[in-house]
Amino acid sequence: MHGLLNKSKKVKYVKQFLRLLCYLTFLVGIIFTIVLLFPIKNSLIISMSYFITQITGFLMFLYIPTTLLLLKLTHKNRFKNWNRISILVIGLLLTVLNALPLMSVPVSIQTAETEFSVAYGENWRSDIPQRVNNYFLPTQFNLYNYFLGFPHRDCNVETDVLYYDADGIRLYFDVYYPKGVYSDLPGNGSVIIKLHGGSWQYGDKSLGNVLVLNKYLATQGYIVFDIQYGLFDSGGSSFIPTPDYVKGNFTLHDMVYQIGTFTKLLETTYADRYNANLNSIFIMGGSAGGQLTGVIGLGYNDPYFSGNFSNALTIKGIIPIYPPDFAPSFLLPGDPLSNPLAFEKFTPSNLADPSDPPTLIFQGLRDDLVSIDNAERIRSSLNDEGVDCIVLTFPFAAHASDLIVGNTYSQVWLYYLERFLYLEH
Amino acid sequence: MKKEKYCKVVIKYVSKLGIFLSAFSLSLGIIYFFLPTNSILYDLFGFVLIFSWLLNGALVYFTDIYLNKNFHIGKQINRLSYYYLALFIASILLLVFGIIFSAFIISGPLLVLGNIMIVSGFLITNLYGFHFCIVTFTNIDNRGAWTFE
Repeated sequence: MHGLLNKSKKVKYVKQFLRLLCYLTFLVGIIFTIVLLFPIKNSLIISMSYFITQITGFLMFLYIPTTLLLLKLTHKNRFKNWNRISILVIGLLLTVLNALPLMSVPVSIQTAETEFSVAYGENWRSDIPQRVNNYFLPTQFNLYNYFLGFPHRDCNVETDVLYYDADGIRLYFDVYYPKGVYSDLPGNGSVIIKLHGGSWQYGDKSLGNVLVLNKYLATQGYIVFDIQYGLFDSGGSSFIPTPDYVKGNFTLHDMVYQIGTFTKLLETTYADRYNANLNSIFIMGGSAGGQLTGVIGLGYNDPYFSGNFSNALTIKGIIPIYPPDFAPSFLLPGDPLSNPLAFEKFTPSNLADPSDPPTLIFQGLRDDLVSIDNAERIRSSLNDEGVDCIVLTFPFAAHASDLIVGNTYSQVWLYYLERFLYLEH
Repeated sequence: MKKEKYCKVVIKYVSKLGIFLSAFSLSLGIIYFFLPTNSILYDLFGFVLIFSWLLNGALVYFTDIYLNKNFHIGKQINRLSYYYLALFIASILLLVFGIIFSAFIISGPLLVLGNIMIVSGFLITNLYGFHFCIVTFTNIDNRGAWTFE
């Protein structure tokens, strides 16, 4: 009898504990949903939005069993059923609101289709032979890659190759390239130089630079150089992993110089080593890396940067991802009044000219850090010069929401990215 | 009385469909882990996977309403539904952390761990869902287990 009483007490405690956990999940769910839906200018919330907006499908399936569990744990006769009704309403609301990013996929696809039709014509798909199409993603989005992950593709990877050892720092790159012969693959040895983000102060190659995408592109015949550049040492800290050996008192001039050094080494050393096609170069980067992509890609032939880059490289396209279209004042000497030329030349939209390469931009519409105005300015300046600029927008996508490749935004992005690369390579 | 009979039929068919969909997504999921390519068949698998999760959730909801929890089989199925919900939550957490892990790790044991989390998350939720549907279906005609008798 005593044992039975003990058992029923234990069950009661377990149920109480589960109930508490469920209410806690609801509370966290409400906070996460607010972060998903409303732009709030707070660094913690912005950091949270990076991840939350990418995993809402999973959160949705977390709220469903939590609601059911809480309903089971709440007796029907208590509080005249109001408690159960509120649990059901909150649970359903959380589920539906977190399903919105998944439901917005057709909107992203429609935008991308319109953008590609404007740039390449209504029948742009006919420019891609079936042989090449077989290498590409067959659909813009699928649920199995979302819920079971985007598989790592099998390619050659060399990590930590030193390319710069001066000014008290060492800079390395990782290179991803295909196994076997490249010539049959869509990329055919074209080069992609990837620049990571992190406010010019944080971040790193590899972990911080969508390595699953690098592997995927390498298996398509691209030689992907994921490179480091010198970062401004502000003395602050961030949750973004950053190696100390790349930090220094660097300006944007220095960063562009270091990347320029890489382009020269690519011409003299790495092109032969990795059998890279120097007549087909793409530059791609996210956030701060997107700003540098804009400056380098659009300023490659600008007299201001004369001598900075290799002349043997042909830039076929640039891919700035949520790019800031401004030169941060802490990264340039002086201010826009005393040093207007530098500020002008380190703002991507100011560098547009008719010889610039076509541009593909990724832009989240829920980006609190770099708003769509930046992408629109770059687009409008390029279009004014007669250069194609495709802007793919993603509802509910926050800053850095391309980091998990299988998510709602990245799948659509990858589908059009691989086609853009092929059409321009 | 009519309404209760109707509910019995609903639970019967939901559990039957749940068995079929869980088995289908389990087999295709296992094939996908061995052959992770992109195909139309997997597109179908994605939809079936989600639908089976939602269907199993609906089954838990219905069984909770109509189970006779004073009868030993009713108690057993009720306990199973608790386990299923707890395991479902754990599986979703395994899947999401596995996916985040594998998105940021280039190679090595951590990448393997990420993949193990994804595979086990998928297997746990679908195997247990399959089991729950079978137990519900085989006991649907059990006298005393349900309140609609």
